[in-house]
Parts: sequence; C-alpha cells; structure tokens
Amino acid sequence: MRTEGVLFPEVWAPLDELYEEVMADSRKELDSHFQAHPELETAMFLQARADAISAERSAIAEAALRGIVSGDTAEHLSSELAYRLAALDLISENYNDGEASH
Amino acid sequence: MTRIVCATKAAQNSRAVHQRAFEIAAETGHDLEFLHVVAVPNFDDLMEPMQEAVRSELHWLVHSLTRISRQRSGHHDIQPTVEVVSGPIAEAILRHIEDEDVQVLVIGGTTDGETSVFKQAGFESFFVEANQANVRVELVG
Repeated sequence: MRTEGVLFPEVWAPLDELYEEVMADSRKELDSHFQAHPELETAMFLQARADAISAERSAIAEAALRGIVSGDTAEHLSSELAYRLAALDLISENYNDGEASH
Repeated sequence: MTRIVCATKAAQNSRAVHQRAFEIAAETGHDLEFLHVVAVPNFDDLMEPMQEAVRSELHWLVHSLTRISRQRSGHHDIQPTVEVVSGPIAEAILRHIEDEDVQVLVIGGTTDGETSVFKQAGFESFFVEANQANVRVELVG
C-alpha cells in the first residue's frame, strides 16, 4: 500500500515502526522459548535442512525433464541427495532427543 | 595459531558450553574450533557414501547451532571452524588436541557426575592425558 501511494509517509512510518516493535517482541519471545527448549531448535534445523534437500531433488528432476541436465547426471545428483536425506533421518533419531551417546 | 577447542555433542545442553567457548575465545583472542565426534551407532558399518553424508550433515548442524550460540553470546566477530570426526569419543578428542596447537579444551558437564561427552571414570584418565598434552580442560556446567 505504501509503494502504491495508498498510505502517506505520515501514516505508514509510525505503522511500520509499530509493526517492527511487535515483531521484535515476538522474536524475543521466540528466542526465549528456543533457549528454554533447545531440542525444538535442533528439530527445526533438521526439518528445514530436509526440506531444502527435497526441494533440491525436485529441482534436479525438473531440470532433467526439461533436458537441462542429462539423465545420468540427474540420477547421480539425486542419489547423493538421497544419502543426505537418509543421513538426516539417522541424525534425527540419535540427536534430537538429547540422548546422544556422548 | 593457538586455538581453543570446544568438544560439542550438538545436543540440548550444549548451548551453555558453546557460549563459554565464545567467551574464552573473546578473552584470549585465540581461534575457536568446535569439535564433534559422530554419535551415530555403528557408524563404521555404514557404506562410505552414507558416512560422508552423515559427516557432512553433522557439519551443517554443528555449524548452525554454534552460529546461534555466537549470536546469543554477542561475539559476532569470532569466526569459529567446525570439525567432525569419528571414533571412540575420548580417543578421538585426545588425538585431535594432540595434533593441534590447542591451549584450552572446553567440554560440557552435567549435574549427575558425568561429563557431557563421557562418563566420569573415563574423564579422569582423559583429564590426565589432556594435561600431559599441555591442554587446560575447562568443564562447563
């Protein structure tokens, strides 16, 4: 709305400031929550990493379909990423409950 | 370059250990390295590509968790490195600190009398060996 000129600077500037303050408070609350429950932080990281790798696999499959990369290359890359995903599963099983053996 | 090594298990109670490592690095001006020993059972029995993938993903995990600790400690100028190794925990840590020019080893402690990396009985002989390598061991927690 600001870029479209619907809101004047006199209106959006204080609004923007207010949103920033609210967001900063939320971020602080979230940070405190994560500090109290670090296992959530680890779980979030592992999930985000798995999502990123899955997205990469999809992109490679798409590129192979469009003929941007060869089938062999796509297969090789996809196989590496499959190992990565399996590795994340193993890590999740052994690290995410805080009961790692050391 | 003299360095501080923080042995981390990348688990729930590791955050305080990480933050203390950042504090020591800031106080001394030495390089900081986070060392993680793989804690996946039967790791050596995995196929080589799987071992490589586990090491690589653990590198990401430790790197990310220590970045968060750095953010919270406020020592944004410190650029730590991450090393992921495998093998029996005490042996792997000792081998690493003997190979490097290490001044301090930061390691986590718990309230039940065990360190966060291995049991108390093992820790005592570990402590002696670390001292023989002229490395000061700082137990956190």
